[in-house]
Amino acid sequence: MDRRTKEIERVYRARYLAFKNALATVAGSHEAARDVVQDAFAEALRRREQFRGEGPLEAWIWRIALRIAIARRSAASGLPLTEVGEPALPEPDARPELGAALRRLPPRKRLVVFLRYFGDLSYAQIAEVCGISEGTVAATLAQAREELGRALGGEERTA
Amino acid sequence: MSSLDHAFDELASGIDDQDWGEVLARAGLRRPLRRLPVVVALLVAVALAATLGARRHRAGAAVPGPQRVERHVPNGTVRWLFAHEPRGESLAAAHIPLLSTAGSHWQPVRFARAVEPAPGVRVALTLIGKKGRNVCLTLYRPGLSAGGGCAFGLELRPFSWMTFSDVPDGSMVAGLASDTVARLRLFLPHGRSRPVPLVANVFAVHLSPAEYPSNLVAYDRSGRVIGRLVGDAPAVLKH
Repeated sequence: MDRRTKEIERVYRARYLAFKNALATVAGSHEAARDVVQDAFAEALRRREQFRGEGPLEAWIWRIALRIAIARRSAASGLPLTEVGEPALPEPDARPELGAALRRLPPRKRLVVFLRYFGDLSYAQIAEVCGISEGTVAATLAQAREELGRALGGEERTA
Repeated sequence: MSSLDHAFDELASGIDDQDWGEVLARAGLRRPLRRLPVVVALLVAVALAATLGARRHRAGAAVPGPQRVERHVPNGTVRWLFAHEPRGESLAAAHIPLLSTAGSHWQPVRFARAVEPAPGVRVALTLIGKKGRNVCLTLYRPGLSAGGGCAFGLELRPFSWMTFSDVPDGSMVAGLASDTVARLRLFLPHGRSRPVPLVANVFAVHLSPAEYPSNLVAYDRSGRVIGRLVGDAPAVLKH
């Protein structure tokens, strides 16, 4: 087994649940997200020679996974591939107030929130995955925390 | 940790059903070991015979019912099983000894439930292995020995099955369907068909020799065909 395969496997074993939970918001369910995660890592393995090490390996795999999730959701909904669709909590009835507050955010901001809270990605990783600046990530999350915190009836730190 | 962190933690799925072997297989780097029969080698031979029979049929005589899959679904799962939800009965309530279940002598059993997919037919579903990710199915019928098998990297596209030939007057096909399957219907010669009940994702259908060739068809919630199992009579039933 080559070094890159081992690195991809290490990411998979350490971060599987984070991938599945975050991608469920795009794929629509945890079941569909599992399939996306499996296919994303399979594609990462097939294309491992193409990874040039210009950024973190995990961010590269996240981009592959998001592209697959968006493509499948787009195929099902007829949305163009350039759109992230409507990322949403896979089981919104569990926390309806949070689901409603999230729906008030623009889809791309929602995705940033999901990558942060479900994917546990750093600001730098989210910036890398979404192709935006770290400053935008920070501002988006600060705004989202305030809005979502209000919806949950509590105070959220904005720093 | 903030209330927002807590809220997202509550909503996250904690089901760690990762399977690196499946990833390697999807990447074309390794073939998964799909099924591991553990009770009797006969089951393997019968399943193989049924499969070969089905291939012969596909090449030749007409098969009843829908002829093609209308929607190809990805590999599915059985959510309640991997979430350890108490569907059906406990093995104790069903009077099934744990050590009679497939795979229990081989790997630790992490979860087990018994369901009755057809009158008088009980199926034990068990999750075995260090992380409880291998699924075993054991079939119990009155007056007959138990039989079953286990699967690594469970593939439910959209169902998995085994054929049991040691049934009086025919054979029995039993299996596990993914959550994607809304209903099953069995198509038989001469335009006959009948629904096949799904109980906690498990099905078991008896087939008499006159009911071959058969076509077990899986539908999604929209009524589209998502899977077929074309069966010819197992070799032991042919004369």
